[in-house]
Amino acid sequence: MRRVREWLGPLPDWLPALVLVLLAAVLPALVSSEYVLLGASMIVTMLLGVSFNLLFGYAGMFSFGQSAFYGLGAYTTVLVVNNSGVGFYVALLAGVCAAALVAAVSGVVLVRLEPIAFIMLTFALADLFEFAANHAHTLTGGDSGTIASLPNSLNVIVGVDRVYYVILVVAVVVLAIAFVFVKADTGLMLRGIREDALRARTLGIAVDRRRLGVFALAGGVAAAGGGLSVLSAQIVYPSVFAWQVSANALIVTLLGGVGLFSGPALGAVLLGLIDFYVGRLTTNTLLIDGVILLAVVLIAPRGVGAAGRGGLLGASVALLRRVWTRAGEARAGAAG
Amino acid sequence: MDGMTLSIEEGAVIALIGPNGAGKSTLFALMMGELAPTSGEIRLDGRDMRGFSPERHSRLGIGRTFQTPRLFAGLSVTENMRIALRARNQRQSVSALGKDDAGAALGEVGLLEQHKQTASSLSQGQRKRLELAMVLALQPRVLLLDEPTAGMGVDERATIMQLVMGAVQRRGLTLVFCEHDMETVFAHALRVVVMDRGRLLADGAPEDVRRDPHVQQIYLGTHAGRAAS
Repeated sequence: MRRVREWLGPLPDWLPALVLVLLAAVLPALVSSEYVLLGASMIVTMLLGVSFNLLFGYAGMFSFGQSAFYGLGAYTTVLVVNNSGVGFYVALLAGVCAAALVAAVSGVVLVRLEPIAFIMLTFALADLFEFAANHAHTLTGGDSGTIASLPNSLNVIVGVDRVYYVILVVAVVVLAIAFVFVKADTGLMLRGIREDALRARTLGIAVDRRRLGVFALAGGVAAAGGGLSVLSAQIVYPSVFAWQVSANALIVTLLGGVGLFSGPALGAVLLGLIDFYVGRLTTNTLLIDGVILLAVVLIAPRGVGAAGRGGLLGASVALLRRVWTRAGEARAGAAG
Repeated sequence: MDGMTLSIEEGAVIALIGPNGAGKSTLFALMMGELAPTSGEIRLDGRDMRGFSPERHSRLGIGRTFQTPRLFAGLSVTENMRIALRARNQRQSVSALGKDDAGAALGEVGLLEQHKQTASSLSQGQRKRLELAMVLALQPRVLLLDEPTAGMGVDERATIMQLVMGAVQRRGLTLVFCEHDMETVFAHALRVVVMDRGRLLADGAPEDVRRDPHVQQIYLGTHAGRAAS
């Protein structure tokens, strides 16, 4: 087994994501509409996780406000679709650009902050947007929400599969952009900044500028998720800015593996399945989510996607080895 | 710092010595822009460096190592080196540089075999060498080395200083290094600066500093006796 592993070499961290994308491509052919919608929801959650992972996993920036950009993407998409003649795709692009711009402007201050202040102020940014969405009734409809005026071709009631494939294709494009980013020089530099920002500075690396770049990119990715969520939900509420949305980004990344490219995809699938099946048994899904997250952090702190020590695979192998050793000792004791 | 004035001429090889808490690392932090002076000036080629970030200091030609080596601990030796090379060639991609450039740089410091290891798994001496290689990759004009041989045995100290002095001579660098090992100081430094509690105690040729009664009293003590015999 060890020889096979050595021959194979370390598995690339993007491989699980590729497998999941291929599975997602054939999902509508295999399951009912209920599960196709679940798949769509997982894809959107994955993008939210990707945005968090870009910041925390690659740059070491813990943002508790990705819901700000997710919600901005959702609202901008809906408002542009409802109030202009442009189609959904242009509206989605407008949402992504608006969020990236807000991230770039707010990031000028935010990325220079100490970690605790960064967490607090990103949280506050999302809170501010939620407040604004709740109170700007004429623009957002307040807590009644805003229904998206989408054409029949993008109406989830009329054609679930079509909407699902739109979500999947756009998500794959966004995922590809994120992949190119993290595998390029910038990704390596960010990982260095994450490891030791002072060392990076004394090597002449413009740390704040690079952090700003990834903050803007992550904002755009979250906004893409928010814009796509409009397709499956067909309505947007101020709760898209809620802290629970930011927490979801954190949870799926922790579950799947921080700093692993496939981490958010794995985590989104896992969380989606847990919520779906647990939701049929109880309304206390948050409690169950918390227990599972705790278990994963304790048993596989590097997430389910990480191989080796600290990942679920490594933890499982280590656990089996311990059980085997104990069983052997017990057998030897009984024979003696 | 307490009323300290220090001029460093181009091409100088200066050892900065003093007891713990003398302010040597603080001086380096000031010279690298990590700390802002509350009074006084810091100039490089006549340019006032106050307010410049560490990044700017690096781009203006100052390279610095730390008392405890600062590396990108979770990344491999090669990745550490590639980041340094990429930082040097801001317009050139790492892929264009290729693994060969990182390999050549690592080979110079004897770390080619360890290229896949994470930086955190290296020994103290190996970490010092990697950090030195990364800083040298930036092609600095001024090299600030904070205790380059700390925690090393005799042989490793000699290896590190050989690497350092080789680079200094080949590239005509200006070198300022902090040291507690007096053999290393007197073997390599052309000028010795002694600090104590943020003040300049002595500054001159090694032999003159070694004979200074103040320095002997406060710092050198038995080191001077041992070295002289």
